[in-house]
Amino acid sequence: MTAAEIAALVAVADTEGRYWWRDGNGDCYASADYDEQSADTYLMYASPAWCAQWGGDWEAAAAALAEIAAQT
Amino acid sequence: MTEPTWEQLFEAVQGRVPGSTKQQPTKEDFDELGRKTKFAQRRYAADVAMTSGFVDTGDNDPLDWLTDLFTGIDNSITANTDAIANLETIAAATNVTAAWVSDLEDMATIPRALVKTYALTGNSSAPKFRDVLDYDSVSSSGTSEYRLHRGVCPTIRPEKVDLVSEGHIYYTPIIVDRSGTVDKMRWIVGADTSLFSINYYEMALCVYNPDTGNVEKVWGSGDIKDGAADTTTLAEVYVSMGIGQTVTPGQVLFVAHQQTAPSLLQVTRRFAAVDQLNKARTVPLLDAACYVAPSHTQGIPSSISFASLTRENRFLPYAAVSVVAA
Repeated sequence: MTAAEIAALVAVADTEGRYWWRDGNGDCYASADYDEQSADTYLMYASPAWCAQWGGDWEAAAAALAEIAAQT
Repeated sequence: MTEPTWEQLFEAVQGRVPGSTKQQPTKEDFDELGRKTKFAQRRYAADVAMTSGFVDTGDNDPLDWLTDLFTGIDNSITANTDAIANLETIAAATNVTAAWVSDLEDMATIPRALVKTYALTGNSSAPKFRDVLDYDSVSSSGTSEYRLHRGVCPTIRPEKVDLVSEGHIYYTPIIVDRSGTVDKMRWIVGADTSLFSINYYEMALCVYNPDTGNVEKVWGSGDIKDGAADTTTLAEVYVSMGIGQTVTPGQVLFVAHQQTAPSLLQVTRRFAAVDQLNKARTVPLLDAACYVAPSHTQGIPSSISFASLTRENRFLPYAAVSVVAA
């Protein structure tokens, strides 16, 4: 995920949900519930504490996710 | 009249130097000795009486006053020193756990004082954790100069399954050694360096049922991924179970834990655990340090066969259950 994608989803977390997905077109979106049967790629659950720990530094958040992705 | 000269004075006192003649003290009879002794006693009694608040009115005796005073105190103390309790009939005010094991009323899977380890890193600041399964995994970096750190939190990273909502369930036994009502469940969280995204985090209290051979669920926290475990501050946290159920010595409880994190971008949160000998125990029931239901579907089940659980002897998670005296 890019910093811009994270920032966009954080901005709508309270209204659209905290489960983040990437659809077949490569676009990210949020949902209020986790759907085990979804065909889209599940990205993560962005809890309030997870968002708060970055202090608005979404570049750092993106770097941390990239590091996790590189290890798996 | 002229004053005498020194010579005249010396001649006048010659032979009368004090001590030059023996003087016998007057012999005292028994009555006189008794009178002096009684006088000394009364003078001492008067001194003591005065310091204790006695007022000399002229017609009262300090010795009698003191006697009355001490007699009164003696009567008061006697009235309050009766033995009224019988140890066999007094209920316990609290259960007892040594402070190095856990909190006052806790039964712990392993003494809290043992939940620590060492780490050798190339960094001057102590790491937050060390993985008991992967000793090279510590929350530190740097290679300039290796330092030995003490008091590092030993942890495991609970296993998860990618792309599906499944994860290992860890069952850690506690043999009940007291009677009372279970209250709080305690464990250690916050060893992670950052707060990872997970989908599910559950703690549960289970009990081994010897009639069925199953580990049956007594209480479940439900999903608390945004609750007590949602922190990177290393701390012992607890949840109140609120079930009001009593335990009996000899029962075998299990503290169960599961996390799920299906995305490749998600990482489970560390759980404090100490390493073990990795040797199976040759005993009929608790033959391992802890037990695992591998890659189990999300949610700790109501019942699971104890025999079906995987025996895990490499580590022992730390958890505690408080028991309030009945």
